[in-house]
Amino acid sequence: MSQRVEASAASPHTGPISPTTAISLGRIFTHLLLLIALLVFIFPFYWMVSSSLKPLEDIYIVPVQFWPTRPSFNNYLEIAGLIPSDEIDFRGGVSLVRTFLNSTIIAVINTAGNVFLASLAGYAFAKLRFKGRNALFLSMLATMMIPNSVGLVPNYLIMAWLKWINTWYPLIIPGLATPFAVFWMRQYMTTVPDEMIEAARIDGCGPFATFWRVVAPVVLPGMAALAIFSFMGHWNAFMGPLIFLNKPELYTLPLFLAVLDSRVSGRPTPIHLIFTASFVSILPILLVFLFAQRYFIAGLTAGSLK
Amino acid sequence: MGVVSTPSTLGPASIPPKSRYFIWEKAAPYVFISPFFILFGIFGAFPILFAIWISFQDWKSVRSSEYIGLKNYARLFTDENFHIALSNTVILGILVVPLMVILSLSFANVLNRPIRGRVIYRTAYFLPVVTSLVVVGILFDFLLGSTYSPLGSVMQTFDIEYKGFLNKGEFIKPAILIMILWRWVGYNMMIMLAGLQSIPYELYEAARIDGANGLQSFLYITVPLMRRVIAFAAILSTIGMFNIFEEAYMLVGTSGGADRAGLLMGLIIYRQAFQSFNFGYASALAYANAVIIIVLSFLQIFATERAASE
Repeated sequence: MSQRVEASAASPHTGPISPTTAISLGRIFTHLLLLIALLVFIFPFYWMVSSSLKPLEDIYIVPVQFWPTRPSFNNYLEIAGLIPSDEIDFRGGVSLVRTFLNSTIIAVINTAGNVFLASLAGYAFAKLRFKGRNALFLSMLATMMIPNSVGLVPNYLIMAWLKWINTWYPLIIPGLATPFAVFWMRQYMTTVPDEMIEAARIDGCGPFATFWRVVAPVVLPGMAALAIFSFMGHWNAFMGPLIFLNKPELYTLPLFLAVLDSRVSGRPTPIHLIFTASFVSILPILLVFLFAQRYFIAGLTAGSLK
Repeated sequence: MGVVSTPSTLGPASIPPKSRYFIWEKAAPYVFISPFFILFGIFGAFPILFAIWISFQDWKSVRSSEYIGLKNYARLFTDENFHIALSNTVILGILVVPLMVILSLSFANVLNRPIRGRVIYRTAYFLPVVTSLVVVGILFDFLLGSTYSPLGSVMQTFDIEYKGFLNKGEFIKPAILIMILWRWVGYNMMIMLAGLQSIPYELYEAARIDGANGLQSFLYITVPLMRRVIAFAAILSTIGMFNIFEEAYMLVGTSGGADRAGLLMGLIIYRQAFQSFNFGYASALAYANAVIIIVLSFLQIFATERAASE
């Protein structure tokens, strides 16, 4: 704590840092700690990327090689199935490219459905009057307190009875409209002024036209945030695919990675290829995150907005 | 609604346009919420109730089961794996929650100031939060488990015998602790930052004029005003501990690793359900887990409110 005392004693809490401010020991110390923390948070990513550029022998050497001495993109070509490889056992002949596509399809359908259907429901909860509105909303909130593990077995049985095991339906249908998304969109919709909706009605807009042409454009930032974290949730989802899929051609990226990793089944995959596949799998989310950070943070910390 | 229920020989086509509009107006809210409620009913609400029934059954297969009363719940008292998982989860929770709060509040407090490069720091600290948990597991499995990791090299330069952190029971919990903190501190930091931004700057200004130093204004302004936000973060971390699955699965497997030191609640529920196919017992475990989570959350809320009223 001492560094904070010194730092804040040396400089006022806010306001631009004036160039004449003496560089105090406390401020250097604060920055040093922030930098060390930064290295700790970044290092695993750095290690993954640098390993993905190395041949296997350069990973299994002592002392470790921090910078790849003979970097190449071979691992990427190998994992994509573009160059022949005797190091990797693609289960069922399915490569990273196919799995990447699978994950994309599942996440895109879910995201589109969730944004549209949750916005509709959220609009009804926030702005329309109907019988049972509060009771329905409260029952939804109540179930959000129950951890997902409770629904694990019942959902498996339901999917088995529907003959949906080994299909994408269990990963797509329930996610088309989630309680969290409805809750999120409702909070956003309450900020839309009633006068605006009233005016649309007077101008002759029906209920759907009012939603689609007047309300939806206003809550577009909320939809964008929902779209981003909904996509991320499905892209990263592991438990569902693990339970419902065991045909390699249906695998999503996280399941593909887990299967490549020795613990699950088949011939173990060398670590440099695992790191390469891992990096490819998180790349889309990292890129979206870096360009649309605001929406990510808004959505992921939504619970704290009371 | 009168228009609908009146028997009409003319058929719906002859209802005047204004009334048709009126019906749509009345029905619209239900039409708007029904896709959500149908899905939510089948895959969200019904399973929660259905799980209670499942937990009273002994399942022979997906289709046949037999009522066995409370036997699945009685088994909780004799199941060694459940006791180990519960105590592991509680021990880790006792370590994780305070560390998480302290670290995230400290980072938030520093980065709430106009410090140079704070956007870069924030972005970097938040990066693990958007990373797939499977990848997090893979990375930490190597970085903390392999002798060919940078850590292994460091150990070797100092001539310390090192076989990786994950082979020995006593090192598994610290490894999981580090992984959880790495993944979630940035997330909690953002929650704390949102809270800090709602504290009026004038309060700090007034305290400074009255001669308070940085530590004093942190302890007497920030912490009391952040009490609810801190409690919220603590509750989320507690709930998270009882729900951890992916990272632990990748790091130690469903066996829980050496000495079962990494066996957690999330792992045994999965194991009973989908490796032993004890659907009934898995549901009893999941309900026990849910009750523990809800009780702990209420205790934390209660403690926060009492502290606030004093």
